[in-house]
This record gives sequence, C-alpha cells and structure tokens, in this order.
Amino acid sequence: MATSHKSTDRLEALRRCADAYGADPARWPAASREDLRDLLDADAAADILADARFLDGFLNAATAPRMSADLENRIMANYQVPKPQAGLMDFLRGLAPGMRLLPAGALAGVGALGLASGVMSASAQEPLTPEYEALAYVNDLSVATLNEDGELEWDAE
Amino acid sequence: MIYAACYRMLGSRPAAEDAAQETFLRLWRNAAKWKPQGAKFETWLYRVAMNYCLDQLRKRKREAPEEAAPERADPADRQDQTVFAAERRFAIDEALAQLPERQKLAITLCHYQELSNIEAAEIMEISVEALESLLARGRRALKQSLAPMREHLMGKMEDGDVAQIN
Repeated sequence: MATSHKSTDRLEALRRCADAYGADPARWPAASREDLRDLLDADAAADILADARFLDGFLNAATAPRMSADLENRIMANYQVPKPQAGLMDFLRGLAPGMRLLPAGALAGVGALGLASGVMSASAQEPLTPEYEALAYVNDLSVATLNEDGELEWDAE
Repeated sequence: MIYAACYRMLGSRPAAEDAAQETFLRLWRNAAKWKPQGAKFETWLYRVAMNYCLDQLRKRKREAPEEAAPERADPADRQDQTVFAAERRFAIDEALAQLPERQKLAITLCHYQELSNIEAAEIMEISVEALESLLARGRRALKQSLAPMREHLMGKMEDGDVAQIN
C-alpha cells in the first residue's frame, strides 16, 4: 500500500514537472530530474510526457529574430565610457593592452573558479563593473576590446 | 538575449527594439549607482527589461484594448519554411499573444531564455512555487488554444502530409 502511494506521489511529481517545465528533463529543476529519472521510461509516464512534448514542439517552433547591427549601434551610441574604478584600468592595461573582455557568463565562470581575482572588484562574486558586464549582454556576438587609452572598442564576431 | 526576450513578450520587432534600447539606456544612466545587493547582474538587467515590457503591454491594453494583441509574425519570415512549420509557428505566436502577461513572462524566461526556476522567480520577484503555478497555467492555456491545431495536424499526419508532430 505504502509503495503504491509512493509510486502515485512520484507520478504526480512528474506530472507537475512536465506541466510546468515540459517534457525535457534537462529543463527540470536538478533535484526533480534526479528524483524522477527512473520514471521517465515507465509506461505510466508516457502519456504525461507525450502531452508535454506536444506543446514543447510548438514552443520551439516560435523563433525570435536576432538584434540588428543598427539597433546595437543605436544602443552603443548612448553608452558613455564609465569612470574607471581606481586602479582597475591600470591593472587591466598592465595585464594585456587590447585584451578582450569576456562575455558575462565567462566572467562569472572566472569568478566562480577564483581565478583572476585581481580583475574582479571587491566581492569575488561581483564582476568588474555593471557596465562591463552589461556590454556583453548587448549582443551575444559582441565583445569589447580595451584599447591603449582604456576605452572600450566594439566589434562583432 | 535581452532583445529576444523583449520580442517574445511584445511580439514585434519595433516594440522589442524600443524595449532593448530603453533597457540599456536605463542601464547606462544607472550603472554607476547599481549595487549588487545579492542579486546577479543578469537578474537585474532582465528585471529592468521585463518590467518595461509589462508596462508596455499594460499601456497597449489601456490605450487600445481592441488592439491589445501583439502583431502577428511577418509572413515573409516564414517563406522558407515548410507549410507545416509555418502553421505551427503561426499557431504558437497567436496562442502566446493571448496569454496573460505574467504567464507569458514565466514561459519566456524559463522556456525561451532557459533561465533556472530560481533565476526566473528572482526576476519576477515571486516564489518558485508561484512561478511554477504560472508556468503550469500558461502551458495549460496554450494547450487549450492549440487543441484545434493539434487535431488539424493529427489529421494531416493520418493523411501522410507530415511525418510527425514533435
């Protein structure tokens, strides 16, 4: 009886996951993915997952356009080079003139690894400055280059 | 990334461009004052963008309720797709446009932007449980909207017009 209840509860948990996140376990919260892994191939889960997969297919069919170069230029035209934090720009220049700032995700990764701590500001979890991290978000394809004057130059890959 | 999220929310390129531009304008103005306060920068930036989009959606409803639905996708964008893919894309665009704004935001952040439930909940300033409720309600509403399309596609499958739905 207890086993049956447990099985029903777990199936219900799978249904909740699929209802909220879809059929792909990669999209589920890690804990649920781990807990429910063995249910994925169960017959009882098939209908639940098929139903969610149907909607996933539709959602994935909706594409979004990429940001145009013109929009990126307009956004960057509004950007003012921030006043550098004391010592930061000298430090960066000393590291490598012309260095490319990493995309935000990579910066966070560097911080998480505890590397290049000198490039990070006061908190190890805090990226260089909001400006620098923000710039990486303007367009996923854009990277900034720090020139010899400590200004950001932009290009697209 | 921000632009794509704005496009998902607002449903048109010009509106998404305005939203992205306004988001970064606010960022440039406020970056020097920004303090982490425990929030990741990405969370903060998304919050600015998505709040702007929600404001725009509410403004649309106030100013022209009968025209509140976002524009349909440009048919020219679908020219190179199969009829089946175009039909499916058109259907989901229409269904997403009809969703309540916070349900659409939850789906945009979790499904399209592939943020974790914790990140999406932080951006929306709600609990993970509330986020999951929005996601489930949103997906349920989408399935209902798409039900006729599903039958239509199943019919096509039986006729051999399309190989599979997913």
